[in-house]
Amino acid sequence: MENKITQSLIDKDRRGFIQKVIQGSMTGSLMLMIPMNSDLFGKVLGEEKASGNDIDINPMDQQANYCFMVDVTACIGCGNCCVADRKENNVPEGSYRTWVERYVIDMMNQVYVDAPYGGEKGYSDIPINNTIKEVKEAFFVPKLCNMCAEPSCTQVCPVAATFTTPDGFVIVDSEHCVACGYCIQACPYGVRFINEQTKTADKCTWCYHRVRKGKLPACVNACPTGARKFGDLNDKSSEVAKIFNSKTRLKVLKKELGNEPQLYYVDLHEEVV
Amino acid sequence: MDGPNQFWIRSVIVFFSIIALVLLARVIMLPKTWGEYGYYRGAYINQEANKPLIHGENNSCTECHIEIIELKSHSSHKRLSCESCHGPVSTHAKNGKKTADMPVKIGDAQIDLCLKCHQKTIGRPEKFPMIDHYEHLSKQNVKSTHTCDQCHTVHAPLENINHVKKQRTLREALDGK
Repeated sequence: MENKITQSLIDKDRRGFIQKVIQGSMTGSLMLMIPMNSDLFGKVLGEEKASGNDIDINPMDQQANYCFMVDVTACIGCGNCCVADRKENNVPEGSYRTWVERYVIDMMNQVYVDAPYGGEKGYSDIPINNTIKEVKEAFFVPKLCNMCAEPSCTQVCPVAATFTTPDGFVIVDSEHCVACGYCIQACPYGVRFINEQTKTADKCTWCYHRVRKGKLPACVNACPTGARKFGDLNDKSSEVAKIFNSKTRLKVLKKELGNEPQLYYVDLHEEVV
Repeated sequence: MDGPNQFWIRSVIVFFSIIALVLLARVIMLPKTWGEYGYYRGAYINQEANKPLIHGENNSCTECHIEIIELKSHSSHKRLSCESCHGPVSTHAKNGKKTADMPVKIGDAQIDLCLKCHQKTIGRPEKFPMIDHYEHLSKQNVKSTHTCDQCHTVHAPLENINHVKKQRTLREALDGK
């Protein structure tokens, strides 16, 4: 009899103990959550007044059909575009929004590709001379965001932080991105990376901030030979529209994937992927 | 209220209050401009468009450096952006006022800068003017310590050379008479 009573007391105590532990942990987690919540809400609600805008654009008004063209035959691989891009978009060292690759084809039709520092510091003959006896063909291929009409990166984003604007640019909302890295895997062209400073996904935007203010993208502006061209296909007098409507052979990268890139290459070789 | 429907009324109240809570949470937690243009935060488009401009264009320099732009405009460097050698304009001038000096490349730094484009390299198109630095200096019979701008005006590379050539042919023609 006595034994039974003590047993029930222990049971009761145990229950009370567990109750107290649960209550304590719940209060503790609430204490942690409350300041975080207020911060979160404050940030979201205060976003409207936070941005001191110079211009107020409505992306629905934009009628232009922007197009980027790269003339592979004109590129000299100087790397001015990469330098300008790094400064313009504040890209941390080691990451590249745009880069220049060199394709070298030898007499056996073997293809060698190199891009030391993304081509930013220029190219030299030494690595090629050490590996290849005789060069059959060699050319530079600048790479940047293809601004797909059917982008795979925006489809996979779980928080809708990357999206296509109504005027056709794929951009990343750096305040909304959770840096899961899914878009980096999804991009077939490898143009996305995690920005070490903002700790979010980042990519080439075709200098959206410059284009909206009527300026050329920084890399197009920096290109000394006009290998990079940018313009509006709806404007029939623009250089890109003239090339687009002429008989020039235009190619896009990885056409079979169906991403419908808006970045066209003039006279691109078959070897380039 | 102890009727047989009590159970149903309770569950209906719970069901609708959950829906109301979810809707309330959605209103509070979604950014204000979410869904303005699509399933994303519409305000970010303006935020992205208003990022500061670092580089200008060549016409940003005309206001103060019109003579250099003129010189450059009829040379083979006419397509070259000022900023690709001198650095971005935003570090140099703001609102029409000079804020800092532009870095000027002299000596070896200048040779490196010129050779970044003009060094003979595998992959560059044949028609582009390329040299091997030391080969070029020895071919032109000048000292190996010469920098590029001792013969070539950097903004219009053949300006002085063409001038000298013209004078030389004139003199030869005059001497011939």
